[in-house]
Amino acid sequence: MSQKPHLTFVEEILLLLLDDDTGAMKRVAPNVMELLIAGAILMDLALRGRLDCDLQKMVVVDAAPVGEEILDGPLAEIAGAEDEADPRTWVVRLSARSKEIQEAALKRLVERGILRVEDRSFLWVFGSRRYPMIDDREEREVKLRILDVLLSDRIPAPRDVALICLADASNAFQVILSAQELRHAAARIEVVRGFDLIGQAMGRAIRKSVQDIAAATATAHHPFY
Amino acid sequence: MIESTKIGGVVVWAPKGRIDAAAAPNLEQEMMSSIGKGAEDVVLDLSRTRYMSSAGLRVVLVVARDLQAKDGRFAVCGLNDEVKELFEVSGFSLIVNIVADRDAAVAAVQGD
Repeated sequence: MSQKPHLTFVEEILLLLLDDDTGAMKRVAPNVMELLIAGAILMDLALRGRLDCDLQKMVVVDAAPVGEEILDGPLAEIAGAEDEADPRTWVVRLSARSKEIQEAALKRLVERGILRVEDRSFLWVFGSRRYPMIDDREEREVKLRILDVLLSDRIPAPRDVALICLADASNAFQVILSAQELRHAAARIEVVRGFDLIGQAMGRAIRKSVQDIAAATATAHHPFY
Repeated sequence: MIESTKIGGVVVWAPKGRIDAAAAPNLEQEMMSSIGKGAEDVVLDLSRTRYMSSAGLRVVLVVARDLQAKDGRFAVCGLNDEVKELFEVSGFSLIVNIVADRDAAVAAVQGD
């Protein structure tokens, strides 16, 4: 039996953020969502052997398209850049095209038969006569992979590290885990999210963005302070 | 170039130069093949490695994960300052036994 190709990280994180019942996307601040999607793209390209990085710089090691539209555009952009930049800079740069990437990823999930569009919401195709088992498995697989890493001491696979970075940055754990599980897993999340340098860079970019917005909001509310 | 030797039942891997996206796949393949053939006590000696990227870190993660699943033992030694910083910043020092040199690494693996 041929192995099913991985979903991209953008697709996986979008599935985690969709409410199973309503099809509505969990509320994530727009700037956070943009940085999250950019980080997902970079981590995907790194795991597919197209990018490499260290603490100072990110480089393209293979500019050949991977055959996924949402990945190949950003890959070409990085390959064509004239300057050398660190992973965080690239997270911020690519965030400018996150909206189009998100739309393309949702469209792809519909094409794959995992989601359907109804009343402008994306819905899991639960109970579909066409793909009932496949679709159920996609969702369960992502969540089980995360739970397996967080609730054990097992060393995670690189793909699972990336997924945990993304779930943490999007606060998806608040949906996946109970409050008690989240408290229990907090230290573990902190350790695992450090294992991926791009994930770290994305987390820093998101924290900086959230701080900047909080500071701007505070200034707006207290203009004389 | 990857040197591999066996010391008292411990397989020691000593890659030379850079462990980046170009070199990492070969190192991973060699080490995983060795583990697949039964090596359970493994040392990664980085004393001849002058640079490691995130692709190299992933090799360490994959090897450590596989050995953990097989109840094997794993240590890394000979890190230069730059590689040591990479291990510390990424938190790998929390999951991998890091020691000064090859003798200490072999002893650590044998004594675990």
